Amino acid sequence: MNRGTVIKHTWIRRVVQISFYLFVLMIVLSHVFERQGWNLPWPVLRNFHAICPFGAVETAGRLILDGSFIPKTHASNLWIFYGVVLVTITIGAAFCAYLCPLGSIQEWIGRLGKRLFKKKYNRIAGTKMDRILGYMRYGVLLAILVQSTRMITLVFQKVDPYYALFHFWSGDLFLGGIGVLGIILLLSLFVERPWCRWLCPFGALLGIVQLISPWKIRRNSELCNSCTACTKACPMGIDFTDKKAVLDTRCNRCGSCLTACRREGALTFSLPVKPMLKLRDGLVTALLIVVLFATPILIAHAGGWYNTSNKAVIERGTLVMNELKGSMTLRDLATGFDMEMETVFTLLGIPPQVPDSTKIYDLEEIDESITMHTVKMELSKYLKKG
Amino acid sequence: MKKITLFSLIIFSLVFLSIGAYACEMQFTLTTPGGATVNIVPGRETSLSLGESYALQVDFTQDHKRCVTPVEETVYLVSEEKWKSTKDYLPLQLVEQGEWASVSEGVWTQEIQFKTSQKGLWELEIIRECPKGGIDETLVFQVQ
Repeated sequence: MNRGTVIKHTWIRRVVQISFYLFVLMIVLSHVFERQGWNLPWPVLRNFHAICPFGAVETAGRLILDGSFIPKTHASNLWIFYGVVLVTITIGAAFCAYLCPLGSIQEWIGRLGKRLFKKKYNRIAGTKMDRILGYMRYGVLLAILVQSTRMITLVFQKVDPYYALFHFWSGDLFLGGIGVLGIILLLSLFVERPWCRWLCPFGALLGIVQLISPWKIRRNSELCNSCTACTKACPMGIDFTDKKAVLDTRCNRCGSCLTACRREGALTFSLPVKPMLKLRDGLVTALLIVVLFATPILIAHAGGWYNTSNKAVIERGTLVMNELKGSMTLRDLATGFDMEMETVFTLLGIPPQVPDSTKIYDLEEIDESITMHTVKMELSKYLKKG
Repeated sequence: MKKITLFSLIIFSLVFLSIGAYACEMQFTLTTPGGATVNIVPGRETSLSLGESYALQVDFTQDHKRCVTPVEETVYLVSEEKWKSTKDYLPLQLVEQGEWASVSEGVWTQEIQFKTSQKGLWELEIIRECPKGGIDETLVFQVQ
């Protein structure tokens, strides 16, 4: 790659990383600002877990066993996961290098580490040990899959550094998570992406999935002069010697090898068949990643399947009697069944001064005759008439 | 140096996994009429016998720095209704609900006595409403 392309490729990836980091931060801060009483012009997400693609992996066991989601996960997790999978099966685990905020922050701290420790940076573990430690990712993935299915809860959240990264300033903090995050960020000063290379369960899964991606880093042995610049540049310590294509599960398509290669065509990010469709331009790669990632999410939005909470079902006015919960408010009931608020009050005999934010299970504190049992009976009668 | 690094990382990952394995904010223990104790996993069915009395111990651990919902505001719902001893029509009849007792800083426990009065699959929902997410656990009982 020539110098101009190198700089362009590096900067485009950095711009995508920063943009996505800020986007996630904005989602989190929207919730914080809403608590402060700010009236925001966009919809506020109250459940951060609902936008984590790994939530889909955690709830996978329950979905397969009985079709249910474990608490705090929703259909939104699945759609975001589909986006990540679409990227991965097409061009590999580029989600980790371009979009994952936890990966990005490790990389940014790593840049400081490189300046501080120069040649000693990324030498904390030898090649063999690095590979052995990398297998821990599969152990973590297996443990989380088994435990979350068995315990029907997000077992990972208390030690989840991703959750801690976006909540360390808030009271929603898990000390385990902040401890793990602290260790990772500290280690990032000495080694490139310690979480990704040794412990990340999501990276482990994507590393396996990416083996089927047609776009791979390919080495042309006729043009390559075996200078090992690519091997030295790889932050994951992947050895390119004698390889035709990189099949290492740790490769996240960051492109460091491509930018390090000085021989035109010796190393390419391309398809195995002719014409070799090369993703030479960083902008095309970045756009492809963003489009592939966003496509399932946009389709789900358009189809009304992107639920980040039970509220989405209510807001569509498609609630059915079996889904009515005591924890829903009178407003939820009216919206969910597409009824006028006045009709709900009249139907249930609720005094007009009662706020519509009152939960159904609290109605009996106002009038002990209005229990969930009577609410369901009156509502059934009304719906049959309608 | 390499051995130390390897050792510390293995220790770190073991601690990491063990925390993950016990990541429950609420734990439920059921004492049967025979005196046996059973840990109840929310969402998973637990078999009970009709007409028998059981004791449910609820242990709550507050793991956030600041909790804005007092422990006394924990709500129990059976058939989506508040669980009260006056409601003898509920399939799980509340006999006695003890006070929340503080065990240590951020840890509370409560004991609840109840009796099964109808056959079927019943849910006991435990809710802690909180602007920071709260808790919503469902215990599933199969009364035979």
